[in-house]
Amino acid sequence: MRSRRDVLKVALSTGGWLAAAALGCHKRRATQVAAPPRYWVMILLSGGHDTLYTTDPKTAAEVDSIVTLPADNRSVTVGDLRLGAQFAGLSKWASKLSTLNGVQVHTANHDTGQKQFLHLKTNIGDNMPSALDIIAARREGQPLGVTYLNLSARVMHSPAYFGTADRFYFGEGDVFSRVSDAQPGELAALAKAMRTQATALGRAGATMQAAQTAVYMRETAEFFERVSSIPPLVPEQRSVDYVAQSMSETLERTLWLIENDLTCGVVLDLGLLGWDTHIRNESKQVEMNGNFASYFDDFMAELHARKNGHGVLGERTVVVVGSELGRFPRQNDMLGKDHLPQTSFLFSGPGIRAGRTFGVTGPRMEGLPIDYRDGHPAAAGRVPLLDDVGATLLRLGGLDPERYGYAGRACEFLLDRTS
Amino acid sequence: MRRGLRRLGLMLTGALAVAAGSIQLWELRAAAAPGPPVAATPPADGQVAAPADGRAPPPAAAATTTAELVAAIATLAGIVPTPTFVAEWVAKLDGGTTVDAYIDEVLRSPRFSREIVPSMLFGAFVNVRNYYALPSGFVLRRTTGDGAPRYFLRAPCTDAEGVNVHPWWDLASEVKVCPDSYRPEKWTMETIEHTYRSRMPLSCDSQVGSPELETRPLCGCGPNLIRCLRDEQQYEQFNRSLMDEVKLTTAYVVEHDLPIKELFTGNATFRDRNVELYYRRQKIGALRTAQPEAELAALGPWSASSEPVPPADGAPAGADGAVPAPWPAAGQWAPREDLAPGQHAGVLTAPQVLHWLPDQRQRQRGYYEVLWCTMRNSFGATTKKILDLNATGNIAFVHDSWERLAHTEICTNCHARLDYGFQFFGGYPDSRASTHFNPSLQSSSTGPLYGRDIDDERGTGPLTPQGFAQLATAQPDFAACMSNHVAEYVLGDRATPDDARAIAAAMDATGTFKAVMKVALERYAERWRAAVQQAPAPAPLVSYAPVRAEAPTVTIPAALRVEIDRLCIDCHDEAPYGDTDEARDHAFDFRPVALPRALVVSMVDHVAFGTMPKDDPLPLLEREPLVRLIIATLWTAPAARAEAELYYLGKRRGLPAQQIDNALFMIGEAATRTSGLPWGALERGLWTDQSTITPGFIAVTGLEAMFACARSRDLGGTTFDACLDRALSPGTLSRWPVTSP
Repeated sequence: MRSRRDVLKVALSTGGWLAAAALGCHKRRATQVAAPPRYWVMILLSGGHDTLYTTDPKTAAEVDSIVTLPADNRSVTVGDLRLGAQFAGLSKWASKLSTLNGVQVHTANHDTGQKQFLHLKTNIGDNMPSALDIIAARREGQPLGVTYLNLSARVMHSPAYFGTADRFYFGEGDVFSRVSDAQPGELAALAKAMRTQATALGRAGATMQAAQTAVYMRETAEFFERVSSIPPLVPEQRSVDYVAQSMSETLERTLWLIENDLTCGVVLDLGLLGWDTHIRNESKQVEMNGNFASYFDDFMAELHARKNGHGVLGERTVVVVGSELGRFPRQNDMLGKDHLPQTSFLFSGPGIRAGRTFGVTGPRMEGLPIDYRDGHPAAAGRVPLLDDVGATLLRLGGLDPERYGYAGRACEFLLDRTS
Repeated sequence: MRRGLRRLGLMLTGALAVAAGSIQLWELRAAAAPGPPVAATPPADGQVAAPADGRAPPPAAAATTTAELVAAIATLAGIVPTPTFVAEWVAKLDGGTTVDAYIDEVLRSPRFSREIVPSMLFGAFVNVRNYYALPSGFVLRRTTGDGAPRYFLRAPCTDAEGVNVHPWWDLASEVKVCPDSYRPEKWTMETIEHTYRSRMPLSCDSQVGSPELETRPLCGCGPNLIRCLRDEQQYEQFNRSLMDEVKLTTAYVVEHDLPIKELFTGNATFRDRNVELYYRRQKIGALRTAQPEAELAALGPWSASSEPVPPADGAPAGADGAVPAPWPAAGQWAPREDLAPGQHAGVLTAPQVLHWLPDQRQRQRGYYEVLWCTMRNSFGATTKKILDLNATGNIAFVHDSWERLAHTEICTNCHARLDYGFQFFGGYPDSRASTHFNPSLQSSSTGPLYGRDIDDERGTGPLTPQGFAQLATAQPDFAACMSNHVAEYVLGDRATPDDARAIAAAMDATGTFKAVMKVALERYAERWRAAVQQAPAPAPLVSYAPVRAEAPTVTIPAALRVEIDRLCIDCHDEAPYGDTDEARDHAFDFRPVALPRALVVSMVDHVAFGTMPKDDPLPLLEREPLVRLIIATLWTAPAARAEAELYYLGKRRGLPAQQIDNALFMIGEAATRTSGLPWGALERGLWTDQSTITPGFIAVTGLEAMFACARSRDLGGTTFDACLDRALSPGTLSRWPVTSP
């Protein structure tokens, strides 16, 4: 039973942390508490991971007969964090990870789901800035706001888009490969020409759209200037499989961008809808999740090993992993699993309360209500909604979610109140 | 013919013929108007610029010219506005030629019909590679070791095991193929042969039949290796051809001034030999033609570079003994054979569009996206509903519960349209299960087409693709969608209700693309001046406002109440606000004097980004004041209000961008050379309303300009810096005029 004092303590500490963040107190308090997030990484497991294999393993006794369990149904529990067989390799990061199960996304459609994933909000329209676009607008010093990597669908385009499209669908030739082929002097001249254009566009009398274009031109010019002095990334060949290799390369590219302080946010679209396992769910989920866990393990290791002028990357980077929708619990006639408007997320980084599995699902894998203060099951609580994840991230970024249309309820249980 | 000139003349505040050098410029000078002082400093990191307050436009320092307008219209139509071209047209216009004549001229540009219009109408459906039409598991590999090369799909075989086959790409030659990769007698996988539980016919020519998703190695390339591709190069070439069929068919319809609906209802398409081969292989698959050589006559041979070459003497004769005429290498406008009445429906049954989304329901969603501009979003599914509806686990690949979905509350808003819609395409099963038409699966009866939901039946027709296309293109949604594509491309969010009506009237009157585009371009010329006049001032810089607790309810002020009653109450009178899945099924009641804050936050979000009002979108000029009203209701602190206004009014959107390939083309022309480098750009898949200038767009176009100018410089063409300035001019990047310096 929680006492009134406990409730008050939670409210006060959360409110205090948020107020401090909003008032820009990060720098003054940097010697006393963990530094605030400087980088934000969102990883889309495109198509819809089956949570039974990843973040929400179940035994036969825990579920109805309609639920088709994985052939390898082991799970790994470290403290309060429970992971499925395919994510078992990530248990070494248990002290830095948390998961949230049973998140409602209110769509069974990939396009809508992928858009929603970028916004961490349901019922959105095209052309809205993404959640990271909003957070990155108040970044400190990185030339790029958000870099979108390996996007496989136009639906994930944003008004502040910068990045790469999947080369299978959209063809070869992206900004990073071209920049690595460029002469530094020519890049500098290009940046200069862009700044001249930006000045003309942003002069008195310009419309808001012209002024915004000018801002984007300056950002891009600054990116070219900075990148011209940075060794280009030469991706490691890890797999002969196209999807697996692109997964590995995209994670490498993310580290390169962050380490060189080129961007505030990175959105990665992994798997080319490979998690969309309407056919042969078992083998494809094992393959996709297995590959991802292996590369993500390496990514986390590098994130916590590498430093730049702002500290150890892992201590400055919030990482969010999830899918646009989930898998229906029962296997279909093609040995696959169809769609479910519910998924799960994995979180890591400064400000995140790590080492816990939050969110509970019932015998049909349906999300159940939880208490939003501590994350424990509570009949009178609330079933997590994607919008709540968005509101939480914006708060973590020191912003008022409401001011950006986020009417969800922040998941206070996910926030590390000691930060 | 004088109407256009008169209209343009009316918008001129200055007189004609202002001498500027040797060219007579027709100056469009905006009237000066009082306005607030403006900040010259652009927003910096950590600060945001508050939006203009909308009181009065700033002094319009800029004057723009007929030359700029001529250039802007040319660029929109895909024509390079060279100085000579522009000067000639300025002189003609000065000499009395009408603007109508100018617009007629630019709309005759092949780049307009072949590049601009297809991207506008189809976006990703034409510019992004198809995955399912040509299963990648059917691309052959070849041994390189001992003996004659053997083609194989799964694993190499020995020279002795190889089977001699006349491949479709060169029937006069013979190649060796591994036996498991050949299997000329195998067309489908029987249910007892594979381990899937589905009773659905699974064809060998599909992804499921290919090595990629087979449960056992049952299928091969078939007779003459008809379902396989010789190598990766040929695979790439065929994919390009499938995209070109949609582009060139569109171009044919535009250039011949055929009604736009022909694009979706006609039988003929414009296609090259690769695509014709694809249709013939579909027929071979459907009829299980064991000896297809005659069917393939006159198409090949295909050279080693994968490009088809004219057939040599001795090409196989057709069934009647006659040697068919060779298929022109550049393609031709030609009918497609129907294996059952109504099989084909314009580009809807062209492989690039048909197989772009594999599942029948997804495919249908794509059709509505193209034909009616709807279904880009799909909200409302809840876990409980899906679990309750779907007892078998089959809801996508096998559609056990489609009728229940179509009739279930909330689900019906999408699924009446989708699920009754895909009954018209029964002959084309899931693309992962078959890539050819199956006449036995096509219904011979009629069925309904629905609009908004199950209570909005639009008519009935034969349950064939043709039946669907005839019904769908007869709906007002189709005409509105086609008009909207044009209005969005030319005018964007500057389009007024009057513009929309004029463009829609042209669509109703003519149904042809050029006529609709012409009206839009005339309006563009009018808006040109307005854009100069109405440029709002950038605002002073503000800091982010601190987070503060707000009251849980908001009292709606009188001015906002009027607008809510006018625009929202028709629908929003159902149920009190609730924050649960069940509550979200209803349109919340907006009538109370005080509303929950979360609901009003959601309101500003939906109105600002155009998702509400739902069925009657507000033009920008009406939407922005409403957004300001809601913001003022929600946030009283000036800094918080300014932060919200910047977000909801600015939306972080840059200027409307030219189509990426149009911009790259223009840069190449300005630099006198292209870089010669390919670009894999996400922008190629966007709908017009998404196409704004982003950092990514700037980076791609900037780098293209840099490489092109470097080449040009190295070849002695120009100085690098001057070339960059030319190639990156605002008109190359923006669809909308940027006021002159």
